[in-house]
Amino acid sequence: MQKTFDIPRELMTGEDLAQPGMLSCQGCGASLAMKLALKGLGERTVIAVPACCWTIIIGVYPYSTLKVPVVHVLFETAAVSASGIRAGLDMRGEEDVVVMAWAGDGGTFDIGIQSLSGVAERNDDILYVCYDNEAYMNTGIQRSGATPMGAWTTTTPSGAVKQEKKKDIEKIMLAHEIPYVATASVAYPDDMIKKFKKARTIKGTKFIHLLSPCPPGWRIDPAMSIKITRMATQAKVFPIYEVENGKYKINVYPEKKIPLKEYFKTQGRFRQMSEDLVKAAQERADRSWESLIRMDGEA
Amino acid sequence: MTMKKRSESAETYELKTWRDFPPMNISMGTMLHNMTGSWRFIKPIYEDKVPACQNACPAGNDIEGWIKLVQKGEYDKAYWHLKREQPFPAILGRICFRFCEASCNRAHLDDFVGINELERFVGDRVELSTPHPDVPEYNGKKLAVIGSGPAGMSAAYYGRLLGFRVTMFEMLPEMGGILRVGIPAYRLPREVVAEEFKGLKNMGIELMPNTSVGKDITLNELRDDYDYIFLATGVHESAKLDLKGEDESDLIMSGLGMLKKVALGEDVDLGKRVAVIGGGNTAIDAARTSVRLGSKVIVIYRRSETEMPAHPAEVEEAREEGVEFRFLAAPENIEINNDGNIERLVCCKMELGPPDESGRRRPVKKEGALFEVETDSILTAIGEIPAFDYLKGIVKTENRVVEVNEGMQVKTADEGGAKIFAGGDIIDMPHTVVHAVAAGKKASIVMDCDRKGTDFSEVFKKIAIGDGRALSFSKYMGWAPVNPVSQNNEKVVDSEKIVYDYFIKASQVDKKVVNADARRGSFDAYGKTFDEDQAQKEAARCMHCGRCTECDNCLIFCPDVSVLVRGEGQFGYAIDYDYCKGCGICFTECPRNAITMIAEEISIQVDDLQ
Repeated sequence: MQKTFDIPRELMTGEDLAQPGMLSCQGCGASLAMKLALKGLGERTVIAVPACCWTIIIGVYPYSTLKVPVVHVLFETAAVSASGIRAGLDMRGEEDVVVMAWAGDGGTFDIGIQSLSGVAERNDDILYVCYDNEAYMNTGIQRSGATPMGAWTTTTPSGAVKQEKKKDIEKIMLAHEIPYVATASVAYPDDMIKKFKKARTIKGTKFIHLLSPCPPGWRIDPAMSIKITRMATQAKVFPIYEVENGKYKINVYPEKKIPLKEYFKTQGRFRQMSEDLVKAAQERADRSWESLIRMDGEA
Repeated sequence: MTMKKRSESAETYELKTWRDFPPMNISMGTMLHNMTGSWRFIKPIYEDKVPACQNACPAGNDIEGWIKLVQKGEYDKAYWHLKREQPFPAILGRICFRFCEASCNRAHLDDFVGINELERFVGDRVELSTPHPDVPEYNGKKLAVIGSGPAGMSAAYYGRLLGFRVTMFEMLPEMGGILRVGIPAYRLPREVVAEEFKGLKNMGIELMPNTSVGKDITLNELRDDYDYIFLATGVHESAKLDLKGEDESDLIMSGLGMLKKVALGEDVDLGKRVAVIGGGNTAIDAARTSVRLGSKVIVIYRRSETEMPAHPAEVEEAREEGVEFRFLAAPENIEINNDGNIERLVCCKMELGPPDESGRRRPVKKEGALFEVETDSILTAIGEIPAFDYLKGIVKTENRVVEVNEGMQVKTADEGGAKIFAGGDIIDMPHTVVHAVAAGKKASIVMDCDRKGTDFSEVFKKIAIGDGRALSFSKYMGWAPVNPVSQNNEKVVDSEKIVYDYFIKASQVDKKVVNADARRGSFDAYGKTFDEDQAQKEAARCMHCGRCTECDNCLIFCPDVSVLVRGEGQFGYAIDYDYCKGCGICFTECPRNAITMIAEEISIQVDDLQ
């Protein structure tokens, strides 16, 4: 028996709001993420894109691979620009249009966090999506607050791989008590599309944290990008869950559970990870998974 | 591909000065002009491959193909599709040795797919006597098949489908050979065999029971009358134990001989206790038949259980029925008393030495470790030997086998007359029904090649399946596969190529075998054919290794929106090579390896780069 994705054929064969010709690398998780996100959101969508890979992927002005309006904004302003667009649309009475801020991990975890925090504090009605490839990939793989412990980047080079742990962005966002916080992964597309559909219906600030593989930055074969992303969830280092009005729900209980070490082994960026760091990472992943299970179903 | 190319709707604008740009920051069109396909150096293609089950089947049964048709509820189609490579689903669906199940990739997830039960289901859905719908006109050549066991049946079936005028000769009053008189009725009901023969007769095959070649008609007479002869006389005599006293009592008989007597309705009295010597399928059949005749049975085998050639499931069922096993033991001496009864059977304990030429460990006697077995009769089943009298002076036989070349052809002492082929248990190959069916198929293809004057070895290269153990009759005939996509008959999809993350565990459908107590007293077939519901459940467990099922994974995961559904009733997907960057995600995420990555032909010249 096959576990086919619960995605209607018509949705996949319907109009593609993301068109080919994208300037993304082979096996890009971000391209796929946008394609799937727009399948969930539909054409009544406006996107605010700060400096990130998607600034490039979208194409060269005046062309755009996306068939929805996209506003390119400054690096630190994704959330607040989206709020502005929201206000403008509200004044025009176009309340059915969803405004999505689509930022990378650098623009979310580091550079854009104050404006994001402001928007969340005001609970402005936007959908903020962080497609997380765990470093500043577009500018050439620099370390970010989302880069996991033990990873190589050009600013945490050989012999000095990152020693600090990844920021827990979900907890930061949950501290703002916004109505919807979720994680999603391109390796679980049905879950991901459902979350975008759901986010469209919720009023207030929605935050979706997407794990999106980057073959050049992760030092992996493009063909393996989905498989490795799926392994992140199977190894419980990127659990897939959602928190709706404070209520936790784990969406994917991986059938096959693998040790984190297996996940690290698949990627060149973790090649210099010491045994101690692997152990520490495993303990941290186990701890957060257990606490997640404890909170599962709780309000 | 009839689909409109997306690259044709690409918009580009002349943008030389700032005036050419729009008055405000809005986009003027898509990026479709950016044909990212040029970045690619490997490309994905849709290509169906050989599932591990089909590769393991000596007959090359297209198991995945007919299971797919079963899933669609097209049972008639499934029946005829199955019969393309393996013509007797109702028979093999009951008694096959099932090499397919042993190599099923699903075993790495939970348990193998019950292919044999499904085959039985498909075989029982259709009247077996229905003749094949596309029986061709006679091609002018005549084929004599000697022996009506599985090899002969298969040669006759395929021979007729290739246009030969076929006559089958059987020395017994009943057609079917080993299927009729060797395999007990509780495993293979007589009616099933009889119905299959009705089907063969309805195809226009002439059946000649009670005709012994060598007695009623000589082989040389047949050579004059026919263009081709297929020898499939099988093995019907048991090898001797080579012990003193073996020939002195009627209570020491061959297992096969006993089975034959029971099958033909003759009286057999084995007494209260029976000792069966041997560890093959005949031994188990003899043991279980003796149980049904009311005896208490012990099977004595010289090696251990792991080396037993009998099917493990059969051994298990025999055990359930109360058959005892004594491993690592061999008969040493039989003492017969004056009444002709067995006084005692003395056995010697054995131990396993180094492997012999069969790869199994050779049993060695433990000197002096003797023990006695109390028994009323002894059945020998330590191997069967053929009777070759009718071949004398025409065909050379050596080591109890007829020597054949790669095309199953037999060398004859003199030229002229029909060309002679052989298959089944009389040639050097494993003694299973499915191997016999494969031999019959192979021989008829070679006969057809001979008739057309083509080189069969060249043909074999084109129609070999997977590792080349089996030949595809469909491919020889040019019949379309179930999936209308390109087929690669060489690449085998083993478990390493399956993405198990995409399958959920589901246990086998319970066969509901009749309990052992009820089985013991009856020769009725036990175990029921699946009902439709059960069949659907079991068929759904098939992972369709190497064959596209339109699961949409490639469509969903393509980051470059370059996988398109063909639509308009056409099967499968198309890849838009204008934009496919060759990342290979579709290939790694295809659950069943129905996509292949091939190297892109690089057509750029050095001059172009300068």
